[in-house]
Amino acid sequence: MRIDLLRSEHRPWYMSFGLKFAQWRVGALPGPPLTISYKPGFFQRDFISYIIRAMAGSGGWSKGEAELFASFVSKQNSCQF
Amino acid sequence: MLEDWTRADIPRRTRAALKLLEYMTVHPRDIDSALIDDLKEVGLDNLAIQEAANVGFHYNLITRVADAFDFPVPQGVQQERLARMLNFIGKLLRGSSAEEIWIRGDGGVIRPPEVEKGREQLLEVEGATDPLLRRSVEAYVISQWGWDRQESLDLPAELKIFLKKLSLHAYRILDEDIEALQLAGYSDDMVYEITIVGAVGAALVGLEAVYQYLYG
Repeated sequence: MRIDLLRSEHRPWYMSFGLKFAQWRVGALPGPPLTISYKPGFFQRDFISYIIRAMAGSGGWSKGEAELFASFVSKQNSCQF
Repeated sequence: MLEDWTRADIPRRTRAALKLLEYMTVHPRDIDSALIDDLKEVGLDNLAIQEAANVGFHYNLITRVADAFDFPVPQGVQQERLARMLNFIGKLLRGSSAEEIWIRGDGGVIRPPEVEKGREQLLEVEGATDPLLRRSVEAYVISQWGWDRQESLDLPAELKIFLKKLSLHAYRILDEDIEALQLAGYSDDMVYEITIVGAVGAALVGLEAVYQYLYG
């Protein structure tokens, strides 16, 4: 990574603990939680909830369709993520 | 199917949503009432359009951050586990649902209330960068898509180079782009804030256009 998102003076201890758990559970450091927890005061709670919400499938879309939409946008952006 | 979605054997609703997402991602300036009418004609109501646009906003944001910071890309089962974890975090964070579907932010721009609140926090909260700089960063990335937003500050050249890539083709961001910012005196915290604000601004372009034609 181009900046060291692991080292943050803003990340509270419980988020550091959560990240270690996530790394163990996922098998790799998960980028989105790593980024948000670098400076959690930067993000408004409802905003995070909003951007995560659609991935569960809502508005008549299934979870599978939401995942298809996400893959499609990643591809349009030529992004591997 | 992602290679040629126009001919893929998928339901018309799904194909219509992919069309919307392509417009949001690649040519948001072409979003207009005719496109929204086309979507409605195949059975998408406002809620279905909003929620597809939400996924578009989410991934237009996250892909830019991933490319800028060069995230490790989860592979195979890691992707499934990450998706489950994000879903769980989303449930934990689920706040009260906004009463309004949309609100007008500064400049009369229509956005979902959660997005407007989140955007205001990103722009105004105390940080390593000045709020005026953050507003100028947002204006600059949005202007790359052809919208006229007034920048308060004339941004330095190295920052413009990085932000142009972040806005238009983030996959082209290189180590050298971040190093150029660091050499110019930007701390990691400053690069972080500029990147997040810039990525949100660029992702907002498509979302705002959709909301403009749904509710404007």
